[in-house]
Amino acid sequence: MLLIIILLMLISSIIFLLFARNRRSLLIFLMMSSLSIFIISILIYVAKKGGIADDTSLLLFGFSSIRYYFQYLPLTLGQLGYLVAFGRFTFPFIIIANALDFSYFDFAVKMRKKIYYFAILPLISLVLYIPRIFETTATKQTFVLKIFIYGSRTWIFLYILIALFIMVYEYYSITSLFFRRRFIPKILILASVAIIYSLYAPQDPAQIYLFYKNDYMWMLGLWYLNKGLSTPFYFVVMVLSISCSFVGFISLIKYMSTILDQEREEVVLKQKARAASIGVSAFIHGTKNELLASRVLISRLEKSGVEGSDIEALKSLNDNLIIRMQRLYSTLREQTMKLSLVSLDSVINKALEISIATHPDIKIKITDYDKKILILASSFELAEAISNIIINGWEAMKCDGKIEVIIRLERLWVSISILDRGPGIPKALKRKIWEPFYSSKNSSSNWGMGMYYSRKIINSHLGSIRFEKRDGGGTIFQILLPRYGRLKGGL
Amino acid sequence: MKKAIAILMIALIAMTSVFANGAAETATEAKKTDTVRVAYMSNYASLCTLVSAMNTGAFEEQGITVELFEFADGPTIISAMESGSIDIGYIGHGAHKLCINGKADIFAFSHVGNGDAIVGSKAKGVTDVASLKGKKVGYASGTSSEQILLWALEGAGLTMNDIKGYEMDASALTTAMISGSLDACATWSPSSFTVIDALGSDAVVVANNLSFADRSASVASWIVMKKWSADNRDLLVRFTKALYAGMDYRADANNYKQVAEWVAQVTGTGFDTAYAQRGDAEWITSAELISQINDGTINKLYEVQKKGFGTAVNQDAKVSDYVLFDVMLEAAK
Repeated sequence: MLLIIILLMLISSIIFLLFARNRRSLLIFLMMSSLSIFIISILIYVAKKGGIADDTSLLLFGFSSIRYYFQYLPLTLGQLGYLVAFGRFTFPFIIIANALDFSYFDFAVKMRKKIYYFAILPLISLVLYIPRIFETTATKQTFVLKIFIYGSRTWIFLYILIALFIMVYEYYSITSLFFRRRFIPKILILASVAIIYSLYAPQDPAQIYLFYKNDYMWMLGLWYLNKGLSTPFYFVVMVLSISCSFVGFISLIKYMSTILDQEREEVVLKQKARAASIGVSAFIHGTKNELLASRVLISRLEKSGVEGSDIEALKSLNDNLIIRMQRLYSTLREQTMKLSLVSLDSVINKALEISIATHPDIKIKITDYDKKILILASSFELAEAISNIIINGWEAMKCDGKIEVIIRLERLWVSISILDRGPGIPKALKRKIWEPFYSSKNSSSNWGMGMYYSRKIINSHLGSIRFEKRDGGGTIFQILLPRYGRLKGGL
Repeated sequence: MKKAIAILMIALIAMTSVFANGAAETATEAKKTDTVRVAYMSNYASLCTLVSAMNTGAFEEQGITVELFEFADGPTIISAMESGSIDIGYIGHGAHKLCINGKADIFAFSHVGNGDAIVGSKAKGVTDVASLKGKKVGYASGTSSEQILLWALEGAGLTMNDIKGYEMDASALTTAMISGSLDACATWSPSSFTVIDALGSDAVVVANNLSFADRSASVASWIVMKKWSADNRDLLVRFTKALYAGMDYRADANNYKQVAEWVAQVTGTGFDTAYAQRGDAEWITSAELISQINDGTINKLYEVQKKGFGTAVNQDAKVSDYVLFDVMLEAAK
């Protein structure tokens, strides 16, 4: 059972690595690999040493044939012992690296750059536990052996505690519920592997080097024959490990499928936009020519002395249509964003200006936020994208009530939440609303390009946009943009 | 995710109820009999007495239920007994060092074994002890087979530095020897028999216990912790009575096949392998044991064994300090 869990976790980490191909997936893979090496070598040792009841054997190995296979593996005691040492001394270092990679509080970010400090003790231990060096240094004097055993045991558990502390600290540092929810699977993955490791970590490789000798046994006893590690205890531990691993495994799969879904959605949207743009470009080109021709005709009519409100209205309508055609064209074509350092405040103010220009009666409540926040942005496009969301919310509320905008810093992101009290977005339209030319509104001023445009612009800023149901009715749109630099005493 | 958690919870509840039922049943049984957790090694010599007593109803007659736990070696058994996870154990020659040094008491003699052997491959150029020079020899440090190897090399004017030693456990020695990774190995029964069987005519035994009978007696015994024997004196005597019944059954040559079958059931190694080990020792009866205790033979065997260990043990320790002759005699009544 334990073997199966370990292998499942290893396989899922390999899939994750192949799929994501980034530093995080590599770190998770390394962590699972070192844990697998450690646990499998421990199981080989247990199989060789014996002394476990049948039900415990079932929990550890599953089939008895696997146990026999492990028992008869032709490894020297030096090879088996060093295999245990390798897994035992690399895992604590890698779990700290993972915890730091998951965390964004100041100290964690600083320590990420100095991770090699944590490699010192594992490296020293790995050198000292090389069978020949171990034999010449540790086995001659009992007190030296004790230093090796207690010293290594102390630092490995200290490392595990540090890793768990980092994760817990990070969890409590997160203020957004959304981010907290997303962080829980990460804690579960690390906690479950830390528990599994800790159960077997007291097994010092010294015991394998001294397989039939007894000095070490009288010093520490055999950990897995300890009274506390009886079958019921193993059962509890296994249930805990299986639960954690299961949840961790499911979380990993879910995380992977979310990324896959997002990528697939992005591809579908791009395909739809590309397909639409071919026909639309021809249509815009033709229509724009017609409109320009109309402008010339209106101009001639004015010159010939035709005056009045009708001719003014016609002129305005024509000009507006030309602008809208130009905008539609720029929405569909591939754009290169020129990002520059701007204050978030200026972008928000611009977005409010655009919103008010469209709906002069719009009511917007903005919570107080840090005006010094900086972002890399193409100001006008980003402000337009934000205003699209605000305007949509306002129109969803039938231009009644108040739009709320909440801005806050969350880890490495700036979060802009736009809350409305409209009817909400049905589940069936969850993906549809991002598509080009989709609109639920019957309006002459709306061609269904607003949400598509907003998402495209936000993605161009290396950000993301998502929405969820608001308690008490309505929708919350959350825009996440990378934050520039870190404020002093930041999160 | 919610569905997954629900499935997990159902699975956990189901598993918990299965284990809870198991525990309840064990508790009911515990009221009827005394349960003794016994450590054994996976070979004929260790199991023949136990399985005979179990299958002939000797333990049942004494109101004892035996739970078997397999171990690879004696020191680990003693370690498990010290931690309290095992009550009674069987040890081979090497672990007697620990009894002499006061770690455990011997409450029953089992047999004098001859299962330790240095087995070589003729095809690899091993013909006698001297031919081991420069050869790849596997051994298990700290065991009686290592002692045989050391004595054998000493007799041939060699030391461990003259061979290429590979320190392994018994199972790995067997695999490595059969696969041809080693030229020779110092091991013990049943590994020695497995290797000899596998190599067939290519196998050569260059030394065994009998080669050094004058220097050491390869005694195997049943042991217990001092505290456990003090707290469970009556149970220990009853256990010994059942062992005697098993000894008498195993000693009868007519029962060898039946005993080998029972042993094979426990070890899972097959009848032939178990049956081949019936010559590992001279299997005495309980009456012969009592007779040998009374005439001092058993005491002498333990004395020879102790001397054979040299400075590794406390030579001042008296055999009667760690061998409970009184239990053996009381159980015979």
